[in-house]
Amino acid sequence: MSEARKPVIASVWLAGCSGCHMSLLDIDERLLTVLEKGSIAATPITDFKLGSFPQCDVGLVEGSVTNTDNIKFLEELRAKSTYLVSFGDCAGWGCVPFMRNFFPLQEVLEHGYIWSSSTVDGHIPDDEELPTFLDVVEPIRKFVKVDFHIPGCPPSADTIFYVVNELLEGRMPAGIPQPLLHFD
Amino acid sequence: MAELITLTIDGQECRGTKGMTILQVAKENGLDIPTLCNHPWLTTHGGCRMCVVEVEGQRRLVTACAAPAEDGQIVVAHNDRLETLRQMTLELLFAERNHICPFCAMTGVCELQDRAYEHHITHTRYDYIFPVLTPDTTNPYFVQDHNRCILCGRCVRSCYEIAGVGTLGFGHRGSQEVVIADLGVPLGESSCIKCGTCVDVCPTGALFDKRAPYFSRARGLERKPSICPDDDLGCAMNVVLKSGLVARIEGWTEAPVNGPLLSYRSRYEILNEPHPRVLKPRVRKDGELVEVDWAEALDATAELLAKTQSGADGHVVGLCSTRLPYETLASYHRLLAEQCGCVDVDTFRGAQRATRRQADDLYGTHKECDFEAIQQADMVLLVGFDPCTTHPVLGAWLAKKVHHDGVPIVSISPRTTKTAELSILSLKPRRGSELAVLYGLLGQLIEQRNLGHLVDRLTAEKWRSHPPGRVSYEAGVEEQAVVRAAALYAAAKNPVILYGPDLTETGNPTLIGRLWEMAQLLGHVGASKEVMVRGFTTGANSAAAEQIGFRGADMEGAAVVYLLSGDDPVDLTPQLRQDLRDAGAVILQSAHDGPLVQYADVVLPSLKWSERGGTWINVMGVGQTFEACTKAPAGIKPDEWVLTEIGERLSAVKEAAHE
Ligand code: SF4
Ligand code: SF4
Ligand code: SF4
Ligand code: SF4
Repeated sequence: MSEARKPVIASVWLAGCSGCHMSLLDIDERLLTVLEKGSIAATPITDFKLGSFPQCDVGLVEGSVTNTDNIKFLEELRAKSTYLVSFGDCAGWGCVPFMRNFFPLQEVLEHGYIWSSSTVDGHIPDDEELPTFLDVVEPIRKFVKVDFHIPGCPPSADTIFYVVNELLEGRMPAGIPQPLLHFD
Repeated sequence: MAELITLTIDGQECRGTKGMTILQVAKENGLDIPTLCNHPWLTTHGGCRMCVVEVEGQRRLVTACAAPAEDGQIVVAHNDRLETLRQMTLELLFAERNHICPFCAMTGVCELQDRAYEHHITHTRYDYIFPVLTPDTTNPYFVQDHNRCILCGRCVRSCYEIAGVGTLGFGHRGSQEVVIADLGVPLGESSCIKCGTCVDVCPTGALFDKRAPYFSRARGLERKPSICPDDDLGCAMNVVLKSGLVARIEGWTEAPVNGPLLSYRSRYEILNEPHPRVLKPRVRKDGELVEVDWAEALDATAELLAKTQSGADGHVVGLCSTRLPYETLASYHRLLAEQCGCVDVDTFRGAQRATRRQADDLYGTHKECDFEAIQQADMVLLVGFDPCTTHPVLGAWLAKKVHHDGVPIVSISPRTTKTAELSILSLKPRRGSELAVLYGLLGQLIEQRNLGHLVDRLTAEKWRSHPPGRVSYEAGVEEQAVVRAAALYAAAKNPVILYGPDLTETGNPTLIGRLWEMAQLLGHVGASKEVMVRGFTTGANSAAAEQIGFRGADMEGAAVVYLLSGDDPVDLTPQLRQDLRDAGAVILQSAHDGPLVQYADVVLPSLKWSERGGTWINVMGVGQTFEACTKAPAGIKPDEWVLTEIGERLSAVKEAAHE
């Protein structure tokens, strides 16, 4: 990270519940510290098309990889960010989206779109525009190199801030100190 | 004396004795070497490879839990290489199964998680396999979730080494390897005795208590030892408390009698309360029980007890639970015997003491054998006793004897018993014909061993008149079974005869006497004049009641019956029903609104097991003292306070009468 320029942060979510981002917002007034030390170029609510993702120093990813779009997106993010940080158990450990791995994909889709009790004449969406589901949900490190992972569902605000602050200070954390490290 | 040794671990000089492992020496000297499959209750496995250390002069890494510590050894337990290896081991464990901590019942109290945190693991570098593994929920008390299993084998070892049954083992190979019950049947249908020891020792969320999976998650839970009131073995346990409430029950390493082994009853069933609590005193008015304050209920009690003092209205009978501490039993006995002049003070399981005393009078003053003798026995004869049901911890010890040492068990009981499954031979005489079987056995022993000259004329006649053919006819057991049972007993060097509630609690001195005779006949009398015989009862403090002087009670024509049942699930026999119906009045001091309440004229609240403190004396005379673990709900007074209050009121009534 250059001295002259403030580091740029961008965050996205893939297959997650947004809980990790809620926890990120829970850093509360420390958000001002983040904005003092760096700048935020994109968040999950920023509208951008594939290929137009901003260049950044730190890319933060929530959620796991469940479909082909997730992969494309992830690849772009990797290409655009100097350091890629995954946060949350969905992104790196194993969490809600992984539960479908224990059933055949077809069965999961049928359950969701046809057999669910409130569905009448359901069918599995098959529009060409839609991304294709992967057979197995994977953590993002399966597809791209991840520089650091913050576990937790969600990671606590203190943990997220600790890592983000370290990065903004120009240090790659060696780990997460004990009380901040948790998998649940 | 053990040979002292000195070794260096991580540069620190450590002392130990020959025979210790490197891990033991390290621990003893305050050094930490991480472990996962190791557990203080169990034998060493050396399978998880967390405790690998470098030993100077040895090319390979050694597992500290298994490697003997040697004098002069130089050991490195922590360096970058070892840390990296341990990290890899942990990461592989995480990748192998589905460790989804956010939904795991044991998150926060998981040793795998602890080790991962200690080793600064944020994720695993290996690809997940996502094996499809179905949890087994068929056991009524706990869940086995293979998704969280690290195959450390602690459960397998505990099931064999502590529970004695050996239900658990490893099944399948490679990535499909799982812990299975018996030959792969659901746990609920297996030979599991539901002791829960495997749950206690499991380091992860692979085995967890159904009752408290998420409830007991926090650290810093409080633990207080207590005693299981269910039988007279004196099994102590650890009560795990959260915010003053019982979260679950664990084995307690320091339990003097049972060690960490518990029965399903002390661990699980004790927490199920079938009836609501009695929270307020009640007095019967116009046929209805109505809630009153303590003063009124105590006055009513004292009045009832005082009325019978004159003797004109008949006598008072006291029946008390044997699950209560010594102190409460003594106060109760004092109140009734001294202040009410009552001679009929007994326990709900009263008959047993009378029986044993009668047997004692009839057959001399020998003592019965102790646990040591049972542990050393090379043959066990069970009479009217199903320890696997009434004394499960003893049942587990017997299972261990059978499975580990091949000790034969012969069971004689008219009931279908669970222990029969452990027995090499089980005789099921018709009810009431047990004595014939014992005569038959005695006869066989005398004949097989040529001991005719040792028995008196009367006994000789009895056994002569009970050849196996007659026994078979009378009792409906096979002739050969009688011959074989006698031969097994006669062939043993240290046989013990254990009899149970069917004899002790129904009163049958002759049967018990015959058992003593059998033991004496073959010289099975220990150095301290102990006969290798022991009777067991179902109340934790039966022995204390015996010492205090509870004797038999004559319920016939009772004017007032004072029942102190506490939380005892009293067996309401047809006889007891009738006696209570016939009684002039019934005072009931009970924790629960159970079936006894319908007979009561006064109902006084009482404490339950976790709220009581005091001393218990087990069947072998081992005394244990425990404090209460939980507080009684507001308004419920300690039993002893109630007894004292009644005593004081009784004195006052008496004084008033004198004036
Ligand atoms: S890790 Fe937990 S909080 Fe974060 S996205 Fe996944 S489910 Fe939501
Ligand atoms: S067993 Fe331990 S490591 Fe595995 S999911 Fe449960 S808490 Fe996490
Ligand atoms: S169930 Fe628990 S104790 Fe048994 S092997 Fe698995 S992790 Fe170890
Ligand atoms: S509960 Fe006891 S008997 Fe059953 S599997 Fe566990 S250790 Fe074995």
